[in-house]
Amino acid sequence: MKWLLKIIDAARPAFEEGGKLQFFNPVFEALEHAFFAPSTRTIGAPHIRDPLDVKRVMSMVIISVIPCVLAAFYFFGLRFIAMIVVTYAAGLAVEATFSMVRKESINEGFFVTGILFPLILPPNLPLWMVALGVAFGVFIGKELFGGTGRNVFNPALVGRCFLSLAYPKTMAASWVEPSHELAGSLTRWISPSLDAVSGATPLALAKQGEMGSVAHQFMGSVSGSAGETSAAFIILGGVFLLFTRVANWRTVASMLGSFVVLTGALIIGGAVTYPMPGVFGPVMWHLFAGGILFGAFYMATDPVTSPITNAGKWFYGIIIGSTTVLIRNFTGYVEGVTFAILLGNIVAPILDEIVIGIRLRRLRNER
Amino acid sequence: MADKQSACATCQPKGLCGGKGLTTLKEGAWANNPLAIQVLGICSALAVTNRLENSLVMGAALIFVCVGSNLIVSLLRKCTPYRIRMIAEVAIIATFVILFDQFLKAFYWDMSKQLGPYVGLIITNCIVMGRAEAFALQNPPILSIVDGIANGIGYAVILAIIGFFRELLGTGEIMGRTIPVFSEWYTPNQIMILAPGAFIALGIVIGIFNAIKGPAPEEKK
Amino acid sequence: MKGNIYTLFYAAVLGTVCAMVLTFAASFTKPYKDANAKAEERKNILLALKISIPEKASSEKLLEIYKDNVQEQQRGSIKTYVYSPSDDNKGAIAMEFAGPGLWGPIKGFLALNPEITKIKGITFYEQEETPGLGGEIVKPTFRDKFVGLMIRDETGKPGIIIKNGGEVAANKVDGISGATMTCDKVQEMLNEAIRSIVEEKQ
Repeated sequence: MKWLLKIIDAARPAFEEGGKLQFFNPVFEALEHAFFAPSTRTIGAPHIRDPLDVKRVMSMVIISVIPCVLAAFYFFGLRFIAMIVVTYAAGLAVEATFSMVRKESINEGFFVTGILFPLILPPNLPLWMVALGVAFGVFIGKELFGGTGRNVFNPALVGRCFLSLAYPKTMAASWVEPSHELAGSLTRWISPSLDAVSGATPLALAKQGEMGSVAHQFMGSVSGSAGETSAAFIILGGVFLLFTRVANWRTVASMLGSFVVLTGALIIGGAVTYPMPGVFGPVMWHLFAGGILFGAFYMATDPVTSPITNAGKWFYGIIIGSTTVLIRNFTGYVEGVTFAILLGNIVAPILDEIVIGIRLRRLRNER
Repeated sequence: MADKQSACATCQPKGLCGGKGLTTLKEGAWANNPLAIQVLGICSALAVTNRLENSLVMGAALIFVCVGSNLIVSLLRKCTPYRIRMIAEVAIIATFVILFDQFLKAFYWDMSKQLGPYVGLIITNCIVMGRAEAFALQNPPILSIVDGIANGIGYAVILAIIGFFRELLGTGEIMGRTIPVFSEWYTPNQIMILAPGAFIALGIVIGIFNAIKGPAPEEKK
Repeated sequence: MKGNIYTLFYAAVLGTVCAMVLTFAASFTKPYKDANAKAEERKNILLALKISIPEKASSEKLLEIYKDNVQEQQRGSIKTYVYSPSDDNKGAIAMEFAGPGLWGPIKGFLALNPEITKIKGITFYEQEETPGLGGEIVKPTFRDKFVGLMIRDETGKPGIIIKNGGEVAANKVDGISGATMTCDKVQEMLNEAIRSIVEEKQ
């Protein structure tokens, strides 16, 4: 590695302040940090020694989505590689441009967005739409608000929401039939697309009065977004996230809990009827259908866009979970997790404000 | 509004309306643009800009109403009792708005149908009322006309820019006509003709406008 | 006191002048507006009946075509517009339908074949549905789906179905995805119109 260090050290003056390539400093820094520990150190006191930093948290998330990524390959084919590559290329281009204009270093935050974004897209979406969606999500959803850590909305969800509003027909036509063979789709570029029946995901079929088997949904051999179909793999990765405390269990518990309770209550109360008998069956079916699990573990728990206070996290989860139930059952849309989490993102700062306000008042009264 | 009058009071007396004409024009259309700087009247700017044609007609309507109401308010400024000046302004503005609406209904039926209630809603447009109250009430008629034109143009041009991009991106057409090569190749982006697209387009246009114009003088100090 | 009288006087004069200007404008434009509204209605009847009209026809031209081709007939309590050309296959009979949509009232014309078994054409001339979703009902791509649709189901009960998916039937068309509510409402008002004309025929 010495030779690489030499090259980097030799190139450094050109990128530092006053150098010829000063404008490209963020790109240089990002490359340097990819290979070596940062050459800059915190100087001012006080500081705490702790191995936890943004990079560490991000690596945990990336490790935890590996099962979902593998499931996407297995069920929908190798085209998923192209989607990941395009997402990173387009997203990093926007990110790098902004860093250069702002004269800041490139933030690691994008690496997580870049892997989560293709996982929530239909597997056969045209690649230029993948690029446009992630560019929009990073630009409007993140950079305009001030970059990583300052965004109100989850950039991946902003990108997906944009695509589903802008190109509803193409989105609906991009679902594919998952592989049902043992070897999966690992030898194929892409699974065969569904025969022009628009929106044949389990939730869309349910709106037409057909409910498939829960077991298929648990394993993931149903149509849907690339990484959201396999409940088993999502739970595997999600539990890892909870275990490492990267995702907060309160958000996940309240979101899934309110989802299950409200769905169950609607069935018992007779407000909704499903072709499937009983209460437990349809509730489990809904829990494993669509993106509710993926949203709960990977999207809603995003530390930047969810509330900071614990009480706020409970309410935040309840708002998302119940909104999802309402959208799924009482609107023209078949799936509502994206909209529900974006709505939760909007109220997150307000929830924090309320919780902190109440706490301050209590402290004042105690005094 | 206050800085606007002080800017006018300091300029030298020469040319049109004692040199105030050009300053007023620049102030209304550029430095104090009603849409991009003061962010007034954005309801209509969001609602009707899904087609370039609609935006142009809406811009024309606002220029007409703004000029007409500014002129009449300015002419009557010395004999209007102070207590009922606002009601008088609203009555004058409403008259001009309804005139334009009737004109559209009679001669441009299709356009009138597309714009729906938004022509009538110019009555509540803050720009028109604001100019009548802040400018025409204190200034002579000809200068008030110039101010009306300036603000109307400031509004109309931004509306046209937003309308142009929303129609181009949202439908791949311009003025309802397909563009050779482009229209066949382009996949229409439906969000641009829906309401969220209006917010995104307006935000980006205001951002670019402010970036070109630079910070306001008082912010520089 | 003097100021009050002056204020009242000023308000009265200004109000009167404004009212006069508006009255004049309204009465001046009234014939044009009426002609426009009538031409709009006629145009929709012609479109529903599938009578070809030039693309940029003036309102006078439209009225002329209408007069040459369409006869207004009362059929029980329903006003119908009948088109009976020499080519018998093209004959059609149109009627107005209306009902509540998602955001506001929907009105339009429904044209059937003279035997009242199939739909010939359909137009919507008043609607306020969500642009891009429910608003798509005015697009020819959606309206053309109705052409040739049977108005009775297999058991002979009058009524059509607008729905995505499900079994294919002679009286069913695909709806607009994302606009289920609008489609349901349109289906309801069309069925009411179909029922009324079928009953009138018997």
